[in-house]
Amino acid sequence: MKDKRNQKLVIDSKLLEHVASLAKITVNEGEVKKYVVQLEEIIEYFRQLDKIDTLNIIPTYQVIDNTTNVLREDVIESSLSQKEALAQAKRTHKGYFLVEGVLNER
Amino acid sequence: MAQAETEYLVFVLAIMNQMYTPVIGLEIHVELATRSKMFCGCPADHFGKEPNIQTCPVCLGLPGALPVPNKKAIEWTILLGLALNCRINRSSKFDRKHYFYPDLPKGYQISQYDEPIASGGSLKLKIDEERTIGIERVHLEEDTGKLLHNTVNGEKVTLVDFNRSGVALVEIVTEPDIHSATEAKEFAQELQRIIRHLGISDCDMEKGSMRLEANISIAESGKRKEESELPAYKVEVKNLNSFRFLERAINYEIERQTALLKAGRKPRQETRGFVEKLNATRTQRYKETAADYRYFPEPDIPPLEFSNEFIDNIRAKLPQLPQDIAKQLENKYGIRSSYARLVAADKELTDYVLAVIDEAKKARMKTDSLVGLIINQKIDWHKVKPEQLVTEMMKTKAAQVSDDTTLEQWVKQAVADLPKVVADYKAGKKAAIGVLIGKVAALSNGSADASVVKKILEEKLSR
Amino acid sequence: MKDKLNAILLEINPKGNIGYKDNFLTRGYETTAGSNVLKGYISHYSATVVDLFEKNGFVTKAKFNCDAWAHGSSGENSDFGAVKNPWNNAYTPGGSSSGSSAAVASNYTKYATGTDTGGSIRLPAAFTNSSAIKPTYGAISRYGIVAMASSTDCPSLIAQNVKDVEVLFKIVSREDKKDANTFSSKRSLRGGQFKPGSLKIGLPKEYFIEGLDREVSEAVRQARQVLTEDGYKIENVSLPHTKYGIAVYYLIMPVEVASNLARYDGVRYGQARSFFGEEAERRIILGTFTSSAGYSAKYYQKAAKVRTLIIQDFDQVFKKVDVLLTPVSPTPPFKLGEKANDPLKMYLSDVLTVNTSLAGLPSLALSCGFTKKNLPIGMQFVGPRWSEPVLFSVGKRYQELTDWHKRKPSI
Repeated sequence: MKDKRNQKLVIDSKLLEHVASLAKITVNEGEVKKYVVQLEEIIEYFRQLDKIDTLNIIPTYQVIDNTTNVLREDVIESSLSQKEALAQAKRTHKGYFLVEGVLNER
Repeated sequence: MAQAETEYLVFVLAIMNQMYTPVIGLEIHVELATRSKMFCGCPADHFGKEPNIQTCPVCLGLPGALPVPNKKAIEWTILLGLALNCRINRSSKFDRKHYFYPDLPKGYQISQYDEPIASGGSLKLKIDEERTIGIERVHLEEDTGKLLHNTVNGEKVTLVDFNRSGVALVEIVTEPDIHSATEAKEFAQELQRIIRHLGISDCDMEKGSMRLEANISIAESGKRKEESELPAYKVEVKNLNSFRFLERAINYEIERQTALLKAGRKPRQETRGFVEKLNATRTQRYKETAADYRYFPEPDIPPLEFSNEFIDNIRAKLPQLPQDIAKQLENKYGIRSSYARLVAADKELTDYVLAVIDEAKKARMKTDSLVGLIINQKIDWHKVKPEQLVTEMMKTKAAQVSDDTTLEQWVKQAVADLPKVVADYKAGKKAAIGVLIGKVAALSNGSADASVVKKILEEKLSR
Repeated sequence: MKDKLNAILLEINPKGNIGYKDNFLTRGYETTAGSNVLKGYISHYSATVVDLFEKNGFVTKAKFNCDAWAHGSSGENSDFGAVKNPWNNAYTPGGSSSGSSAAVASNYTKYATGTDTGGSIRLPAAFTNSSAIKPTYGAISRYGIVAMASSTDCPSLIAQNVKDVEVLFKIVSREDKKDANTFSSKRSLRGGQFKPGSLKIGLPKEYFIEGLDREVSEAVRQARQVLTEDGYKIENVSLPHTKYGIAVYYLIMPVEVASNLARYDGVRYGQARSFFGEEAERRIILGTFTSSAGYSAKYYQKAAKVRTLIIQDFDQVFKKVDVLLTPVSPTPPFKLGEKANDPLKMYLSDVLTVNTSLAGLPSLALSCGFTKKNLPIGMQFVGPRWSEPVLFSVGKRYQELTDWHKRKPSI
């Protein structure tokens, strides 16, 4: 699938469907078309980062003043009761959460 | 050990004939016996509990919940890394590993990706010769919930229990250095011994606190460009619920894959499960490409930095490991290696045996058969005090003929009586020693311990 | 719809004195985060912030409407209808903390919370003539707040003036053992040794670019004048990587969003994933893509490196000045429906706020004027991490010298 300028798209329908399934988001044909256009525009906007030289730059994933080692002692604290744990689930069975259907192996 | 010998011969032949070498790596998961879970304060001991009674917003993946790491779990992972001769990485962190499955409440598992706590270690095996298996990494992560497949009102469903969700889990990954089923089993057993000895987990396959997976492929020697090149595929085998299953599954896979390769076909890269009633593995799913877990650093948890002091403090807590205790029993006290390994695996038993050895020394008694009695459960060592045991044995014939000096005399006599047999032995006919042992047996009226006699003979005749 | 602004999703106690954005969990009451996925979800625990306010005598009045999952700059992404700006119902009150800002501006409540991940309290504050603090990242506990982007989410506070915002801040700015990121050795290093008159204020030139609405730049210029006359030193500074902020933010934030929304599978609570709205789906797909194998290095990791450069820009600038002054939005409030169909256009309204989020810096937003159409215009004071006392000091002083904040919408 090519756009007006006849450049190859970064994210085409096939890739979008694959990504959506990775994310467990169901998309119909119309949505795929719409998202492809929107995401392509957004990703095109990202290209401006390509020209920045980051060769020796360390990535930042957290802004916490370089804090390290925030740990907790191995002590037991109160848990939810079974009733509380299950309270918001649509389907339960004898204390378990219930998931319909047969699963594929993880 | 006949099976191991056969396997080893096959292996050696394969190498010599430039044929097929099994390339095996193991992935072992061990539930740590911390009081609380990895990232929350729920109790970690979940075995046999009512479903979903030990959960909280964090381990249930409720909105707004945040993880805080368990200090003890981290210390114990470092301890295990040290016991496995690993390098402890001074900087470490947690990462999110993403996939969807009902037993994974957040849709991601907090694990470690590129900065595990420990890496680059090794474990010595000792089957027929000492072999070293490389340990690629030891890292820390959280366990998932448990699934039960069931039928409710005619509907096929899956039931989920999150008591286990969030329990601290250590993952040990070996290098693909293992070459046979026996080696794999020996590795798993030794690892279990060490972990139990460290007291960080009950490491029980039946309870599920130790879980195994094997990656198996066959290298076609001679067809590889370099010695170090690994096969282009690997088969992951799961559902290995016991050491027996591990062995059977590996042997099945070696046979299956070798047959395919011999027929000019390449085994498919896939995940297979061991099926007990078939005594074989079966396909679970095909893995053409690696799963895309979209790892990124866990933003909710500050990274870990281990100072040298911190690591040294943990290193000081490292007890003497079963392998070293076994060696000591063998070399220092003359206990045969099979007995020594069994004793060394149990800390209480080790203490008992050392006490027995102490008493036996005072009575100038040979210790190996004493230990044999303990191990073969001829006596209940929980009930008999070490001094009592020794005194009892002094009374019986078996102990008496284990006396060094009497045996020595019989051996001397046998050697003197059979000079030709001795000459044959020294010329290389090792089987001739049997005749000498037989002579000692006759002289002692059958009461001498054959394996002890063999040792004395070997020592004497090697001079 | 309990009110004509559609700001209130749930009224809990009409006599209460504080309201919470609906991504704050409140024990025993519905929390939806503005999404149908959580419609009917009743939590059995409260956010730490809620507990702290209750302990200090505050009574919960209501839960406020917001963009679903805090995704948005206008409130139009709420699954429960958009919120209207009390100053002019045809306009957005800003988002994603749309309900909170409308409620405060219309005097339904004096105090409210919101969250600010890329500008979501500052923009609404600016659009409704309110005062708000987006705190230092980690200053206030995130425990019990529906997570959006974990590395920039800041529970935030909004009120009718800076003094009231400061009162709220002092109650909830503390360590929480349930949120590991609230622990920092720098927390006690408050910007203590400052004399109001001798504070240096920097104006980063990249925030006053061409394309900035003229009424907005004029209002900020007037504010600058007021401060100069009061003795503050003003200096021009530069934050060279400012223009890359949107790209960096919209690369990093969706990755964390996709991850944080992975838990909503309808098994333990909530509805199935098919109940996600369009904006949520778009961000989930985008974030999954940019962190996927083969693309992660080019997109996600690259953005993380540029984030470092953005942070370095601020570090450099704060060696020269104590505080920055910038507009909050490139435009005055816009009409409902104006940007709703153009995601990228909507994202660009965050251009003046995302960089401070990426750097984890505190920012105080307050009003500095009105447009000819009588719509509020806001500015922000930005400081280094843990410099809230400095920000409050300048903000309070500015509100002694001006009275924009005293104006009320004619309801």
